[in-house]
Formats: sequence, C-alpha cells, structure tokens
Amino acid sequence: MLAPTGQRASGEWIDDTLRARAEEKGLLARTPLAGEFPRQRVELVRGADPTAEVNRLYRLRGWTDGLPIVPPTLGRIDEMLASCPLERHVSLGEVDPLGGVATVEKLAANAVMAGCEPEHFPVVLAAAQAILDPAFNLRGVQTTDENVAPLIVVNGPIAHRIGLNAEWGALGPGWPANAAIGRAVRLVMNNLGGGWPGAVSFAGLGQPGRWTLCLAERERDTPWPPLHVELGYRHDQSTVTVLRAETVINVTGGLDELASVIGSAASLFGILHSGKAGVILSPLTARRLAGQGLTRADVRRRLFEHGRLSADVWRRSWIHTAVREDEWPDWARAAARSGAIPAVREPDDLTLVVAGADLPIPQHAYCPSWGHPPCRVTREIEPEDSIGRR
Amino acid sequence: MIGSDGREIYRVVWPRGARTMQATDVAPRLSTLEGKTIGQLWDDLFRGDEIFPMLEEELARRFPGVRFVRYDTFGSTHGRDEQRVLAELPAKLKTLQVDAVISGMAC
Amino acid sequence: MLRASAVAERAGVPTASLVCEGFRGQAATTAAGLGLPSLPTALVPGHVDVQSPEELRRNVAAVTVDAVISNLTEAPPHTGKADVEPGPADVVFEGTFDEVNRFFYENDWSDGLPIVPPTAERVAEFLRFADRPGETELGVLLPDRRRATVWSVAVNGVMAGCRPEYMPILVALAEAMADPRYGVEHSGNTPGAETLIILNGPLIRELGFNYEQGALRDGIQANTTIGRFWRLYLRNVAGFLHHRTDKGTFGNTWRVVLAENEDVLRRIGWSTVAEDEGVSGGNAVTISRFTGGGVIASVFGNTPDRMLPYLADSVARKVGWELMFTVGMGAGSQRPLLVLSPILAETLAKGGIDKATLRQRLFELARIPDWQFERYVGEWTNLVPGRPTLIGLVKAGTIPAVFAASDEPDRLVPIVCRAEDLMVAVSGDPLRTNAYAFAHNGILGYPTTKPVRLPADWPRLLREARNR
Repeated sequence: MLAPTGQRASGEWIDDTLRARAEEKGLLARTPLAGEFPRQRVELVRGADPTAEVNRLYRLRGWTDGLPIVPPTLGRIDEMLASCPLERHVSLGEVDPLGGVATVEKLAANAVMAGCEPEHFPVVLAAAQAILDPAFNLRGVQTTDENVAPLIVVNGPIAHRIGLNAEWGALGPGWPANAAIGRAVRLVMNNLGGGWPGAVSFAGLGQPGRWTLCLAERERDTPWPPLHVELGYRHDQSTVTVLRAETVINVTGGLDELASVIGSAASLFGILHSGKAGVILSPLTARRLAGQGLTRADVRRRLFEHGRLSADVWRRSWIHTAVREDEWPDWARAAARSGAIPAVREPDDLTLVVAGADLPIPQHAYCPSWGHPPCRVTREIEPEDSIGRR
Repeated sequence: MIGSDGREIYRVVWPRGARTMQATDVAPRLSTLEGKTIGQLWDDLFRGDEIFPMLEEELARRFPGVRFVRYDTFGSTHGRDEQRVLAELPAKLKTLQVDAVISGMAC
Repeated sequence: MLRASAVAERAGVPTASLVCEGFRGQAATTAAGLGLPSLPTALVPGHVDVQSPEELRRNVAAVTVDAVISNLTEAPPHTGKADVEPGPADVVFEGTFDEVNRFFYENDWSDGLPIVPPTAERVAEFLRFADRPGETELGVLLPDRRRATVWSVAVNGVMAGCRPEYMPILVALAEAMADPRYGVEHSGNTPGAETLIILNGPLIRELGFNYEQGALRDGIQANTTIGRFWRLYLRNVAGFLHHRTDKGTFGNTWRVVLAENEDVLRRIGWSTVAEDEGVSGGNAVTISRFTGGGVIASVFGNTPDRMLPYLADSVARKVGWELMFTVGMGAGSQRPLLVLSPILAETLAKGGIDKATLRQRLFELARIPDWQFERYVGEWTNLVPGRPTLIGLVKAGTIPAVFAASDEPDRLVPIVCRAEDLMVAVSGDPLRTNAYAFAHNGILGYPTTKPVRLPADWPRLLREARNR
C-alpha cells in the first residue's frame, strides 16, 4: 500500500509532530501507534486477513476518521488514477497546518480509503484544489476552536454521471458519492494536513459535517440557471464550490422562516469576518418564487434585506463583548446604527444552492460562514483523460 | 532464511546514502523592492537575454529607485566556469550590495 | 540554475528562480535536494523556445513579474526538520524475492528489472574485494548531496547483479562520479545523454570483459552488470528519478562498459584512452557522457588517406547542437569519441599513423562550413547567447584562431578546438571494418579518469573468485 500520511517537502513526516502534540495533550491513547510506520513510500502487510490488520494499524496510527477504511493498495490507486490527466507525482500544494505535500497519488490513496470509486476522483481533486486555495484558509479551518467544516457543492454534468445526489436526503447517509467524496476530503485534511482532533484541531465539539458535507445542486426541474452558471461557468462545465460552513441549520417553511434564521445570532461570527454564507433552498420554494417572477439574485436580495439581526441582539451577544467594537467591519457597524444588521455584507455574499426532495413541506438549510477571509472557492472539475495515465 | 511457506526470505539493506545537508529556511525576504538592488544570474540558456530586460522594465515601472546588476557581472551559472562563478558569488553579492537576485532559466 | 539560487540564499540574499512550466516538478525536488525545500520559483508559462517574442512578453508580463515580486517579498513556509533515514546496515525490509523487488521498485530504488536482494551477507562478500572499509566516504554526490561510500557501492553492485570481484571497478566509478570535473549534477539534464565507461588495464582479461565482437552490446556479465550498476548508483545515491530530478526528454538506458583491446594497442604501439587522459600504468576507468552516436559501417580503403576522409566525415556528422560545447558553454569542452575496430586501427598503424597523428589528421578533416556551424548553435537552437559568429569568438579569445582562417562563410572549420579533444578507442570485432562515433555532452559530463585500486591480496581473491 501507499503510505497515505503527509510528508513535507523537507522529507519530514508530519506524524512525528502529531505524536508529540498528541502526547502533550494526553491523547495518545487514541493513537498509540502514532509515528510507528515504515518511513517509505510503500508498506507491505501480510497475513490471513490483511484488510483487518491494515485497519487496525491505520486506526491506531491516527490515519482514519474512526470508521473502517479501504486499504490503499497500489492496485486500487492505479485504478483511481487510470483516467487522471495529472501525473501521480504532481503536487497540488502543501496541506495546512502541518504541510504534508498533496501529491496526486497521496490524494488518490486517501480517496481509496474513503471508499471512492475512480469516477469520484475528479471531484476529489477539484475539492482538494479548492481547500488549498489560500482564500479557503485551511490552516484556520483545521486549527480553530470552532466547529467549521467544508461544504462541497458540485454542479454540472458530472453530478448525474457519478450519482451525486441532489434530492432525497442529499445531506444524509445512503448516497455513496456524497459520502465518499466528502470523506476523502476529510481524510486528506487529517492525513496530509494533520488535523487530528484535540492535538492540532481544537474544535470543541466538531460537527457531523466533518464526516462528509457534500452534495450536488439540483439541476433537474429547477427554474433558474444553476449556481455555476451564475458564477460565470458554462452549463456543460462541471464545478466544485467550497464554502466554510460553521454548521448546517435546518429550516422548515418559506423565505420568511429562512430570513429569520439568517437574521439571528447564528450569523454573528460570519458578520464579524464579512463571511460568505450558504443557503440551500428547497426546490418547491424555488419554483414558487420563480413563478412570482423572482430570479436568483432577487431571492438573495430578499434574504439580505429581511434576514437581519437586531442591533440590540448584536450588542448583547457574547461575541460582541468578546471582540472590540472597531474590529467589526464598517458595513456592520453602519447597519447597526440604523438598527438591523444583515448577515452578509452584500447579497452576492449569499451562495444560493437549490437541493432537496420535492416535498410539500419545504426543507431548507442555512450554513453560516466561519472565519476569514471571505470565501467561496470554485474550481472547474477537469474532465477525465480519455487516454488514461498511470 | 526460509519463510513459513518454504520460500526464501531476504533481509535487505538500504541502497541510498546519508544526506550531508539538512534542510534549512531560505533567506529573509524584503519588505519592498523600492530602492533595492537586484542582481541577475543567468545560465546562458532559454532566452534569458530577452526575459531579463522585460522584467527590468516592468519592475522599474512599479518600484521607484530599483536598480539592476546585470548577469554578465557574475558570469554564467552553468557550464565550464560554473563552480568558480558560484564560489565567487557570495562575495560579489556583498561587494555590490545586492539585496535580491533573479536567477534563470530552468526549462 | 537552482544551484546558483541556493548559493545566493545561503549568502542571505533572497532569490526568485525563473522556471518554465515543464520544469516545475523537477524544481521542487531539486530544491529539496539542495537543502532548500521552500525555495520559491517564478513561473514562465509554457516553454520559451516555442513562443514568439510578443507571446513571451505577454506571458512574462501577465505571470512572471508578479511571481518574481512575490518570491522576493513574501516569506515562504518555515522548513521542518528532515526525516530520519535508515542507517547503512539497517534492515529496511524482509520478504521473498518478489516482495523485495516490488518494495524496491515502488520506492524508486530499482530500474524496473529484477534486482538481486542486497542482504548483509552479499554486501559483506563484495566488501572483501575492496581495498578500504565500508564506511569510507568516496565523495558527496549531487543533486541529493548524499554520501557515496564503499558500502553503498557494494549494495548497488549486489543489486545490479555484479560479481563481488568487480568491486574495485565499482569503487573507482563512484569516485569518478563524485569528481566535480565530471559534473554528475548535470546527469538529469534535458538532452538526457548517457555515460560511457571505458575500461583499461589487466582487469579486462582477469575479469572476463568482452572487448571484441559485440563490445557495446549486452550479454557479457562484466560489461553489462557494471553498466547497470552505474545507473542504479545515479538513481539511489546521486538521486536522479524520473519526473523529478531527471528531466531528460528521452534519455537512454545504461551503456555496457566498453573495454579496449589492449593486445592490439600494444602490438601497434598506440596509447590507451586512460593514458591519453593522463593516467598511466594499468587499471583505470574513464567516464564521459555522450549524447548519441552511430555505427560507421564498411570503412573501405587500405591506406590512411583512403580511410580517414570517411571516418572524419562521420565524426563531424554526428555532431550538431553539441557544437555549443566547442564555442559556448564550457568552450572547448566538446570531446567526441571515435571507436575503431582493431583491423581499422591496425591498417592505420601500418600506414604509419600513431594515435597523436590520427587525432591531428581527424582534426584537420572533420570539418564543416562556418555557416553551418553557426546555424547549429544559433538560428536553429539558440544555444549560444547573442548568436556570435565564429570570427567574433576568435576575436574575443574564446576559441582558437583556426576558426577564423578567412572570413568566408563557406570556409571549413573544425568541430573541436584542438586535436587532443578528439578521443579514440580501439575495440569491437577485430576483423570487421566498422567504427563507431559518439557525440559528446561537453562540460556536462566531462571525461574523467580514475585508477582502479586493488586490495593487497588481489591475486588470492581473484583465484578464489575464479574457482567459485
């Protein structure tokens, strides 16, 4: 198997730092074999049940998310990379905070472990590129005490081709592409970036989105052009858009209910950093609003105007007492003076995604943003290479 | 050594050699190029003679007071005299008070 | 070029290194090998050779300038400590023959052919044939800056399938590889030339090297396995790996060792290659890096005057862009090699030609028109900056006056600076009238000769090896 863990450009393995940090924090019991692995590109595991042994070793070395993984054998990695246009030793960058080099083959190894099929890999690659964009602030996401997770939204023809779900339970279990792609990104963050809970990642609680938070936007039976077209891509292009989601808040009802959740204390941290928030709108509501003549931009403007936090709530909040007034952005302070603060600086900073089942009781979700700088990173998903490469 | 399935087991050693150089950080960066002296190092290949003037023109436009020490001052960084040129380089950079270097061309 | 950047950084001067797109991967690994993994690079989009001046200007303005500014003003990430690597005698793996081979291959320690598993026992056997202990350092090899030791020579010799008694030659080869005169750091360069090892001395016969028919072909253990050892050592200790530090466009595989036919040389009174290179008195290896070459078949003629024009013309024809090493980079470092079969050497000798005369005659005859020479290094390849004329270079004192005998573009000029730059060896099928001409990579793999040192009890060891 290929060692899925991070090695810096200098040759140092991040596991050495991780072991030291885990020890300091008294967390070695979770990963008693941290740093104990052959310091080579590949490892041979023998025995009557090698899969079980690999799982045992990887779990105790801290290389899993706690659930069983698929051993990243060289053969499976070759399959994962068979149609990849990038050569296996190409580096996409160094993964913060511990700086393991994200070579294409290491990404493939983690994708194999997560349970990805080869057809999922182009999305994993694009998502990895997105989180490595400096605007995503991966270092912050990995180390903060907040519970943020990357929200991965896929648009374009690839979604249907690989069975990435945009409808029933799209944010829940049962859909292999949704599950494996998000999980692969998490394993990359853990294994190449070293985001070990408690040792490097100080998120107090974490969130379920840290297992996987990945869906396709619904492009069937929706009234508007999809998100990627709104962002300037062509219909026939496929893209991945990544946001930093502090959490996922379920909202049942219409725009007013959404606006009221958006205009609540849930948005405070996002306001502090002028963050770009995500709104997942039920398809039924989308059709209804479109029927009233509203475009995407109109809906975002509505939410921007009605989803406002009262200046009182702002001033009484914990975060307002914790942070100096002059650290709040100008636009928020100006809005406070007029009595109500929008959740974002401008309507464009709301990312609207249409997804979910066709239910009469509309289910939406609001994902307030975390941290700085304002971030909505989109990357084109490179089509598979028809020639195929090793 | 014979393994449990009857096949010979080999205990093998490493074929590489010990590194003699540990990885270090690069030199501290400048806060600005304004008023700085930039040295050029060239290996006589791949159109450096066209590219360096392009860079000079653009950098001079953006950073007032920037000046350049051209590559012929230092000699080719690749070829017969490479080892001598590199050996003399630190002293030359110091004498000429070079603040930063643009080195080309790797193609 | 990155070596120069590294020197500046270590002198405390921040650098921006200009890198074309195709070289980015190699730049990262080369920088790591230089001990500066955070060395920033500034991208020049595409490859400069195929861009019009306007395109180049646009690309530089759009991408490179900003990257240069960023390289010089933004701090790259802090470098961590390097990994702890295995010690020389540590067992890195235990497994069956197939498992060892898979493991070595996947770790980039093998050339894709089966290797002989390097166990401590096999290595020890090789060390018995060395004149120095295993931990002796023979040099430090670029680009990885790893120690070349007698021990690692033995390990790679075992892997290559060499016999233990080849060890003295392998050690001499590692010493030659580490000699700065050779320039091993260039072994991964874009043209991708390969080394030829020339062996001289009694070891040729003692160890059963082939020096007759098929002298440059695989099939004889000594010639073949030592050729393979060379590239394994380049891989494992110098550190040249595909798609990383090796940027040879095509490359070629290892050449078998060329052993000279010293019986014939002695008979006709010609010097050996080692002697020509200044190392006399017995066993020696000469390494040099050749870009390519070809057979000169059917050399017809019974006198030198009838044979030399064809031989000289063939030598001149094999050389094209390599002329940059005669007049440009490392001016005067081009050293083409002509290998003559024994019957050709004997015929020339019978016609009164000794080696020095041969090289002089070849120098006079292996000539091309001035305009053609300048086109090779100027208009067609842009390999000599400023596209100087040969007359201009003579005036500047870079090359000898022979290149400017007149100012006629049609005048014939030599392909090297001096007669002594031409190398001549004797080997191959003794009765076939063929020769072989190699074009040379100049300063980027310069001929380097090392004597081969034998252990004190060599005769006893040799007898033992023969009777194994």
